[in-house]
Amino acid sequence: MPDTRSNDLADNAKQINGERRLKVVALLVGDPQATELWTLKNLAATECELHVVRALKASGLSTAERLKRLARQHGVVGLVSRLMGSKLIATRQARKELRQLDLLFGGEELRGWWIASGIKPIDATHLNHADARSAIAKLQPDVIVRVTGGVLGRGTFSLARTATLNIHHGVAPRIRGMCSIQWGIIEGRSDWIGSTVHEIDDGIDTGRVLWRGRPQLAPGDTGTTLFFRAHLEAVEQLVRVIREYAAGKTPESWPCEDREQSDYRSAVGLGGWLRYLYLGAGMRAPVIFERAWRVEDENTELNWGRLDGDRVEIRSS
Amino acid sequence: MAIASRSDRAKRGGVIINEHVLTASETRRHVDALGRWFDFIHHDELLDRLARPKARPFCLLTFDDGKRSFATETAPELERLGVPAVIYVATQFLTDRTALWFDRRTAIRRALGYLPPEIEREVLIRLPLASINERLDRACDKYKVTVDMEDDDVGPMSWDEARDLARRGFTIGAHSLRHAVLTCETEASALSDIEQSIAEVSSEIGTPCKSFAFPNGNYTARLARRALEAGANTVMTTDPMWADNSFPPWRLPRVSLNGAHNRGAIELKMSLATGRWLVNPNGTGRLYRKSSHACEAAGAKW
Repeated sequence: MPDTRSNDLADNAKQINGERRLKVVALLVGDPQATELWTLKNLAATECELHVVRALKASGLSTAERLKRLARQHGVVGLVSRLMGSKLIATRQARKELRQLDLLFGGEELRGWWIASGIKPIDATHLNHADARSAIAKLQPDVIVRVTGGVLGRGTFSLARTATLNIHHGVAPRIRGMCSIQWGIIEGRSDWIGSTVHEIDDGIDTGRVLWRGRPQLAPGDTGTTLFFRAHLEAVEQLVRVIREYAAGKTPESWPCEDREQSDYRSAVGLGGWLRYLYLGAGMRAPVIFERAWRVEDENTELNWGRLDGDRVEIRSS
Repeated sequence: MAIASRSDRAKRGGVIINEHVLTASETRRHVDALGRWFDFIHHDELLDRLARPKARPFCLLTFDDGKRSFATETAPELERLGVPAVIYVATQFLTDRTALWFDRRTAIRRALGYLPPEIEREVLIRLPLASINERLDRACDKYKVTVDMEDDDVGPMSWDEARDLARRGFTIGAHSLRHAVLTCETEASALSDIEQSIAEVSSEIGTPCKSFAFPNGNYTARLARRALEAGANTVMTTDPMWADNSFPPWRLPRVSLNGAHNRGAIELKMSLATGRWLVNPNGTGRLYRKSSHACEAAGAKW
């Protein structure tokens, strides 16, 4: 996909530099919360022409259709576990995390900015609905940014002249799908905890990676604080990517191993949520302590030196 | 305290005290209370005392941030009493002489009589420094609050004063550039902050900087390693425990005291610190208890 779109890039750049600013359409579902407002505020600061298309619901499927699909994917036991996890824990946990994220991102100030910005979202039924597609098509965006929402169909993400981008809160394609940071804590995978800026393609979090990074893991961190720091960094990189597109450049692909193992996780089930709570939402997670006290970096394994007189010797092995 | 001083930990080590600002009389009170049970030592003796413990436990006094009141009030009193100390300076604070974030927050609380929730300490210590400053700039503008930099407990000492203190026998250590909570920054920026602050202390003081203290006490092994690589011999945290030879020099614990502590409170705190009862002031509660095991499991020991 980058190849086909890169042909248009030079033309775009001429137009952007000469006649008009980069046109960005941000997609979201429902009223934007602090996390989404942070993304929108930073996008608006790029001096692009920012439009917002807001869907009223995440998908076009009815509840019965959704349940049928989940039962097919995960079996009846998996479905029941997910429903119980969602009803008993996830909803409450999400509410708590929303409050924490609101404080961390400075929700009050962001809501003030949103009102003052004068951005009027175009409402649609859901992001793959014909009304959303026609609204996006009318705007003729250079770049589409999926801020929130479900999986985008080709009919939606292909409406961008240059690229459709997404922030995945996890290290893609190593971990794809939902709740990747929580899954990293539950399954003890520090290499899953991070964020990725990638192009959207037909798969879920499988598109060309433009940046990925990992926040530091330190004692006291929780799923929420890690999500917060991962999002801050990802938005900074998303803005860099948008600026590169605005300058008529094609952002380079992020180097990922050719045959990197890729896992997919959907919603956390009851067992996963119970383990997450047992780990204090990350506070008592061994994965955080292990990462915090691991000293080796990518290339060098380093042994700590021994105390020798009044100095410490550090030796590389 | 008598029982604490006979405990295993006391026999093997001592305490490193973390102070911030003290008046002359508070300094006398603290030295008097601690001097009853501990030998005051110089930073240069620390590693040796950890490796070869003596009968009486040691006490190393450390003062964070580099406020002017240390040079004008605390240091003369310590000199009179013959007690050495380490001063950890936030290097950019001394250079550009603008208020540290927690002093701006205190000024807002004083002016308003309360703190807006978005600048509560529990929130700010989870943010990168740029976000903290942005939020405090906004609050200071909104509530028309200015920080009194003429107050010696708020304004920094000058580099000349720091050099003078070093000549008089005090140890000057690094305490980051501007007191960012380093675990909330990106790793690259935290590593460069540590390296730069150690280099700035060395070049300004004219002797190699031998010690680094983590601002707010939040740390990881990789950050501590960078401090050692940049030339520090000792790295201080705020894990509130006695220090003994079971601690590597890259995560030496410190027990925090402040001017309000009287003799009884100091002795109680020292006693509780032997049993790992105290809460870490860096906002992570008692998680430090898990650190030793986790460090060993990860191979981050010496």
